[in-house]
Order: sequence, then C-alpha cells, then structure tokens
Amino acid sequence: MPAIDANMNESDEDYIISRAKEAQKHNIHSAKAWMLTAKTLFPTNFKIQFEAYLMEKQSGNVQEAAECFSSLMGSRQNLSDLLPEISLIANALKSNEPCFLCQMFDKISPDIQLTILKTSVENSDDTMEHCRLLVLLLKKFPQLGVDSLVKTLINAEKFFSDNKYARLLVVETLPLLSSLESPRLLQRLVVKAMDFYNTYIYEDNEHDITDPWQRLFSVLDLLGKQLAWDPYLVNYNNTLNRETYLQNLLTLRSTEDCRQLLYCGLSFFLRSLHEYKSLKGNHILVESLVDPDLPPSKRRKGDIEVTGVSAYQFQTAANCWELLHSNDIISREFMKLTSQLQTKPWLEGFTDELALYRGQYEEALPISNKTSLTSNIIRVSIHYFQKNYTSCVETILAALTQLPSLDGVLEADLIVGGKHRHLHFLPLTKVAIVHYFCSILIRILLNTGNTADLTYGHMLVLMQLGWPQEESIFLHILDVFRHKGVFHYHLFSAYIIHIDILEELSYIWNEQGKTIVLDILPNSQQHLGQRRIGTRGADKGVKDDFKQAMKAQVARANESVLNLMIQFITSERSYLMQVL
Amino acid sequence: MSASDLKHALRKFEYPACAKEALFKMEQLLIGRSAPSSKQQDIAMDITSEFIFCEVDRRGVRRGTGLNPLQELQLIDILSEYISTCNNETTKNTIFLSLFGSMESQRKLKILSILASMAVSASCTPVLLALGVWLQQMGCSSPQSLKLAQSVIQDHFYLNTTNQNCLKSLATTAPQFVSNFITAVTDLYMCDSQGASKMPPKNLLEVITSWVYSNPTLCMSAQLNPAALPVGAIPMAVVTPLAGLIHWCALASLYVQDTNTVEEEPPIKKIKIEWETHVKPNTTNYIKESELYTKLHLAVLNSLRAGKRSHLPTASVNAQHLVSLTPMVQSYAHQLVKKGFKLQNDKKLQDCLDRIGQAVQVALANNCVYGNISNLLASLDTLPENKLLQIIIRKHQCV
Repeated sequence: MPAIDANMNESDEDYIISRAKEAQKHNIHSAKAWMLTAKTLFPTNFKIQFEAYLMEKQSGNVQEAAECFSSLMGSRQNLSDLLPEISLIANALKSNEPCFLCQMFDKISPDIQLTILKTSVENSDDTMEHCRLLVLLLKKFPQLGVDSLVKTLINAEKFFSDNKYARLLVVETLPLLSSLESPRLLQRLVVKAMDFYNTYIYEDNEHDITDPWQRLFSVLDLLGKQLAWDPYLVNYNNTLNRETYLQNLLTLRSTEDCRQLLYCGLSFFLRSLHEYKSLKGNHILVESLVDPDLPPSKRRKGDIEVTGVSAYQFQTAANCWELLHSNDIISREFMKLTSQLQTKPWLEGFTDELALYRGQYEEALPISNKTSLTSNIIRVSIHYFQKNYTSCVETILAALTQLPSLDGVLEADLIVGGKHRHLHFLPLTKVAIVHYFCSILIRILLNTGNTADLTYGHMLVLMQLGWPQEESIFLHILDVFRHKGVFHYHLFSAYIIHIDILEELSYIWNEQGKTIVLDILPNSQQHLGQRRIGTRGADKGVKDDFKQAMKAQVARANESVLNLMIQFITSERSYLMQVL
Repeated sequence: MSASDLKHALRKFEYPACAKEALFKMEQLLIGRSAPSSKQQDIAMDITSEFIFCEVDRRGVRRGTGLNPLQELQLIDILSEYISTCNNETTKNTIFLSLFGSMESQRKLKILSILASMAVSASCTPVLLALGVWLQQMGCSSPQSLKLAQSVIQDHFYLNTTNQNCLKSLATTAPQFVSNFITAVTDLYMCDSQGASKMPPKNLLEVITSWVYSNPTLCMSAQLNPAALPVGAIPMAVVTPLAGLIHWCALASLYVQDTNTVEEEPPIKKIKIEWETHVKPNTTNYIKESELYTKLHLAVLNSLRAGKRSHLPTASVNAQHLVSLTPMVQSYAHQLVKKGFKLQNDKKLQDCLDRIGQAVQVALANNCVYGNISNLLASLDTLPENKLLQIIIRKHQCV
C-alpha cells in the first residue's frame, strides 16, 4: 500500500464521521456499518460515539439508541458533553407523554438511568427545575430516599414566595415518602402540608388536587407511624365521624407529649373550619331565642344549642378550638404551630363568633366604628342579651336602613323550645333579619314588665311576621284582655292585619261573654273616649262600626307584613321608646 | 446376540420393515456408557448396508441396483419418523452419523439430500438439527456438505420461491443447521478469482440476509450449542459463516451489477408454465441486490459484535480465511490498472476495500479473529490504497 500522504488535514475520526453521514443520505445500513466501525476504532471518542447515538436516534431505533447512549454514559468524562442530551431526556420524562426518548430511557439499565437523572438533577441551575427533576428521579428510584429532596425543597429560599415549591413538595414528593429518618423533619413536613393544603383550599381557584384533606392525613399518617400515635387519629376516614373523632381527641388532653393532640387536632380543626366556612355563606351567628312553652329540641347537646346552616360544623370547630386551648402548654404550642401557617381562616369571623358562642360579649361586640349591617345585627344581639334595651332598639332602627334587597324566607328555628342558651346562624335576608328584630322587640317589651295596653298592642303588631311562632305570648295577652275587660290600642287599624289575630279578637269580642271592650278604632275617626266599640254597649251602631273596622283590616291581609313591620318600627319609634 | 443372530432376526422382515427394525438393532449395538467396540461398529455397518440401504445382499455381495425410488422414499419416511421420535440427542446423532457419516456413496448422499429437502420444507427441527451436526462433523466445506447444500438450494431457492417466511423461521428453530448451511453455501459462490461468474441467487441472498440480520447470534449458534456427539467421537472445529459472508459482501461490491433494466427482467424459470401471465415485480418491496449486500454486511458486523456483547466464545473468524480475499481483490485491481483506471477513483473497488476494512476492524475489536493476525494486517497492507484500511492498519500495528 502506498505511503499515506494527501488529505491528512482531516482527522481519522472526522473522516469516518463524514463517510457515515454521507452514507446516511442514501443507505442507513451502510451508514450504520461506518458508525459501527468508527465505534470500535475509537471506543473512547465522544464525537464518534455521539454521532452513532444520533444516527440511531434519527432512525428511531429505540434499542440501539439506548445501547449507544448507555455506552456514552459509561465514561464520566463524557457527562459534561452529554448534558444537553440528558436534559432533553429529563424534559421528555417530565412531560409524561410517550416519546422516543422516554422509550429509550426505559431500555437503559437502571444504574445508568440513575446516573442520567442524577446528572440532570445536579446540573439544573434553577431550584424549581432541580426539584422537579428530583421528583422524577425519586419516582423512578424511590429507594434512594426522599430525604435529600425534601430537605432541598423545604430549605428552598423561594419556598414561601413561590407556591410551586410547596406544591412540588407536598403534592408530588410527600406521596413518595414511605418513611423518613428524622421525626423533626417529618414534623416540619406535616406543617408544610397543613400550610399548603389549608392555603390551597381557600386560595386556589383551579381545584385540581383531589381530596386535599385526605392527602394531609396521609402525611400525618407517616408522622403518626413514626411516633407511634393512635392509628385511629391519623386515619382520614375516621374524621368523617366528627363526634367520635372529637371524643377520641379529647382523651389525649392529659398526655404529656401534646404533639399528637396538636397535629391531629389542628388538622381536624382546619378541616371543620373549612367545612363550616364553605357552608356558612351569608349567615351570621346571633344570640337567638327560646320559648319554654315549646317542646325542647331533640338535637341539642350540652348547654348551648346552635341552629341554622353550618351550626354542626361550627360547633365541631369551636369544640376543637377549645380543646386546643384547654391548657397553657397546648395553647402555647398551638400558637407556635399556627404562626407557621400563612392562611389563618379563623381570623376572619370565626374568633368573633367563637367569642359570642362562649358568651364573651365584650369581645364579640364589634368596635364602634364598624357600622355595617352585620355589625349592627350582632350589636342588637348582644345589647339585647345584656339587657341594654335602649341601645338595642336604636341599633335595630339603624339596621333597618341597611336591609339587603333579598327577601328570603322565615327561619323556622329562630326560636326553639327550652330554657337554655340558643344561638342561630341567621341568613342576611330581609325577612330573616326583620323577623329576628321583631322577635327581640317582643321579648324586650315582655321583659319591661310594662302592662300598659300600648305594650301589648305593640307586641301584637310585632308577632304578625313570625306568626304563629309567638302564639304562647299571644294567648297570654288575650288572657290579660279578658281579665282587664278592655283593650285600648289606637295603632290597631294601622298595623294589625294578620287574619288569625283579627279572627281571634273578633271571636272573643263576639263569643267571650260580651264582657270585653275593644277600643281599637283610629284617632282620626274621633271615637276615642266617646264611642267605645264594646260588647257592653247595646248600641247596634257600635257593633256595626266594629265589624266594619275589622272588615277593613281583613281587606288588608294581603299587604306585606314585612314592610308593615319596617314601617311600624321606624314610624313608631317614639312609642317604642316610650314603653321602655 | 451374535451378528448372525441379529441378521437372521432382521431377515424375517421385508423392506422397509427390516430397515425400521435395523435402526433399533443399531441403537442396541452403538448406544452404551462406553464407546462401541470396533466389532460392534462393524456389525452396525453391515446391518446398515444390508437392511437399510440394501447395498449388499445377505452374502455381503455388492448389489448393483440398491434401493428403488419407492424404497428410497420409504426409507426417508422411516428415518424422519425415527429421528423425530428419538428423544435423546446423543442417540439420534450417533445413529444419524453412523448411517451417513462415512460417505463415499453417491446414492446415500442423494437420499440424505432428499431427507434434508423434506426437513426444510416441513420445518422438521429434529432432522434439521441432526443435519446440522452432520454438516459440522463432515466439515461444512467438504464436497459432501457442498453437495447437500446445493441440493437444498436447488429445491428451495430456485424451484420454489414462495416459501421465504417458512425458511426465515428456521433461523430460530434450527439455528445450528442454518449456521452450518450458510457456511457451506458461502463456499459455493464468489469463491474463486472468476467470482463474478457465480453469484448466489437473489432469493437465497434475501433469506440469508434476513436470517443473519434478524439473529445476531445465529452465526455463532454452532459454537454456542456443542453437538451431542457419539461417545468417543472427536468434535470437528466449527467454522462460522462469518468469514464466508465477509467474502461475499466485499466481493459483491465488485461484482454486483445493479442496473434497473436487468432487475426488471423476470427471473428465469426452469419450468415454463403456459398459462402463467407475466407478473411485474412488486416494486414497493423490491430491494436491489446491492442493497441486500449492504444490509447483509451490516448484519455480519452486528454478528461480530454479538459475541462480545453476550460474552460468548468469540473465535469465529479465521485470519487466513480473510487473507484469502486479497488475491481476488488484487486481480480486480489489476484489471483496472490494465484498463488505465485510477484505483482511488474506482467506487466499486473503494467500497470493497471499505467493507473489508470495516469487517476486519469490527472483528478485531471484538476479538473474533483467530490465527495469524499480523499476517492478516500485512496482507491488508498489500491491497490498493484506501483510507479506512490505512487507519485500521496503523491502529492495530501500534497495539
């Protein structure tokens, strides 16, 4: 063979690569033969090995490409040159969609897969990227232990500013965790998970995470297993039975290590609070009324009865809160723990309602510069129970100017049977609010002990909206009339239009021994003092007048009692105050 | 039982029943814990001649006629049944080799060829495996083996071209046979300086390419699966088809004429069928012969790698066998020089040299070459100038 002379400016490697590329244009087999030769000639030459890989990749040969790439990965000094390709593979894997590189990755032996993923992790500059890749790595190799990833995530600077980290940690990583050596770290994770899910349910609008509470409890479960907690308390399904779960929590009050009570209790509290808040909507908690003459409610447990929408959830949350504040140590730990939560849902409304629930009126009373309808209703509620009747009526008058436009319906359980304390979630609707006010005004009038006809007349007016809820008071008033033999109320024709009340009055006037004088015709008709409509006077004209007057009232039966009440309270303010 | 008693017992049967019985008698004589004595072997040979092939009469006198065609078929039937039902590899091979192992007789070879053909068409694996052992023990390049291979080619690659799928599957069912068969076949074509005159039929080339391409370890399968030989027998060296295929692919670069006009001609039929209309070759599946060789070449390179990849014994290419390529290439080059062509510019020659270079390089890198490697490198150095060869020679001389 003649001596080598010309064309030596091209290196051997480049020569063979160029031949392979040339051949690739028309015959892949020939190109592969060249590449195979090149690979054996320069087994450590990156360029050649990489070209061989590219060629297999371009021709879509999964198995061959995997082999080429594996052999490239075999040499550590290649790694830096392989980074772009490694990151392509990592990206392909992250996308979770079937693709050539994913298939190729599956054909690579696990130890090299591990190197690929580890290298991609080590070389990602962006922490987020880094963590995502770690998740990918750990999904493939859970045996590596999630500790390092977890530490990286939890220490990531952006953790608090960027929710993506928390999500990656809590949603993606924690499910990979089967155990963790450090209980301290695990505790931090539980707090992170609480914080994340608690914030998520209030702030996230996508709601793409299913069962956040269940997920939170599965993290609790990890910690519980490590700290030998009662398995009952870390099992999500058990929290569905609130009563029993709370009872189980209660048994922990006296244990020395309060962590179990604290973590399980807080998780359960947050969950109950969220349920309560999502149910509650446009309802506010008010002191409500009881009637000893009504049959007592069967649902009541304990000294306080709470009725209305979300009452049960509220009570669970409130009892749980009490439990988490049952002694100084627990309270202090609770403060410490909750200081780490970004979203504190109890701060909005719950603590005020809790104060009301506990009867701490001074705390529950809205500060004086708050003049919203809600604040006013709560003030009405508190003033009434503090027997601060003048302020109460004044506040009612203020609130009547702020009524919402939505009418709503009567609340059936505004007044319950019994003598205990009753709180109610009052919907912010016109009917419900005015009904509540009327009921309170009736009690105020009743409580003044004033036996003037005017007082009874006002009560008759006010009980029309909730009729027949105050029937027992009505019957009591009728007894008074019968006893006194006279009822004198000049606002009768203006405000009493309820058919049942009119009927009852007509009935006693007609049938009850004709011994009652009902002086109910308006002043304008100038009958006052001169012509009494009564059963005692044999004057037939008087009788007819009474009938006429009643007919006129019955004719108004279709008027809005609601508006009538508002009008009454507003217009007859001085009369009301006069009674007080 | 004495020899005469044995024969006496067998003489009670007519042909072909006596042949069937004879096989069992041979089993009794030849199969045991130790090698059969020479006397036992002699008796077995006598029985074979008289009762199986009917070469001699009861007095041991040579008969002129032997088996008639019907008896041949009956014998083939008995043999394939016997081999197929024999569940001991050693027994099977012992009987098979003693029947056909020492063959001067053209009649026996004819019978064996028919048996082989039938086994191929019926995909009868036990018979094919026995044939594989036979090919190896006779030497794949022995005249008998070549004759057998030719006969199979004649039956299955010339006359019948519709059985490719069936043939392709043999590489997985009877790889030892296929491997030895290819070794024999490579010796039939392109193996002298007038190689261009004798190219393998395209059908054969297609099947062999498919075999080797789809089964990278096929060429090593005779090495991988040592034959279960008779007790005391000396195993013959396995010759893989690789060196022969390297010859083919290298020389094909020089000899294959790929012009479309030639390709579009229908293959010459030995039997003319009147009503058969002219069928155009299916152009979508149509692969040029030169492309087949390119694919086969890659398949050979992959096979060379396969040994190393699966940690198999890799001494599969004889250096001397590769050296024997050089005079053929040189004579082609001489023709070019005579015509005044420049060797560096002749694409066919350069392709040939590239292929030789590639095969030698991959074989050397995978430790597949045995024999005098420095002699091989020296002989490559005598070939016309080629950059790849220069690189390879430099690389391996340094080591």
